Amino acid sequence: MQKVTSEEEEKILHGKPVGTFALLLAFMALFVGGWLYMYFFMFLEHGPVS
Amino acid sequence: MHVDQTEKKWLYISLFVTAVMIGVLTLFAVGSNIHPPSNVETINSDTLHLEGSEFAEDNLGVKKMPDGSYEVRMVAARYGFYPQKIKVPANTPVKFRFASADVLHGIHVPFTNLSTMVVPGYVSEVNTEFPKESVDTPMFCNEYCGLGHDHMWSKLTVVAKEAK
Repeated sequence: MQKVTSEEEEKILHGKPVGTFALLLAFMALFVGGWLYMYFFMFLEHGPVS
Repeated sequence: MHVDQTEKKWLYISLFVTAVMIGVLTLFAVGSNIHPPSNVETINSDTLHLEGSEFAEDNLGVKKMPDGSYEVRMVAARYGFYPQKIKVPANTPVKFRFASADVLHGIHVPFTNLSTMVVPGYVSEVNTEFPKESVDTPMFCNEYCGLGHDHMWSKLTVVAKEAK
């Protein structure tokens, strides 16, 4: 495995966690999108209930 | 208290997701009256079958109301729902009223929003509409009620609005 240079290590430790943010946003989009799809296109499509 | 920036972002996203869900549920509950069924009405399970009771045999089944909606009365008893076959029109408000003659039962109609528990001593009420026609859709008991539980179902047919 290739060793990480000290500059790269510095960049990783003190840089912004762009990958984590991308993962966060992807998770949010999938989760909210999936929930809204189920609510509007599966639950409400089966008729009102009360 | 120090909270790391990344943790704060997680927190904001979690709050946003929760707010979206609660907002949508509240909007439809208040605006369109769509929410889980709830009805607190007691009944004596021992006298369900007696003359004069709302759930006596002659009063069970589908009844058209003066406003054009329908009311369905059913009794859940080990191991069946009575009457065993019902027919209602599509896209028409239907009020279901269930009572148990013995133990705890549940009712669930797959691919619809009709699902509730039928607790002995209480009347379960569900208001719904069926948007699609169907033939002999099973209405299952979904609360374990004894050895015959897995044979406990009746059938629901949804016909076109004009055909009823």
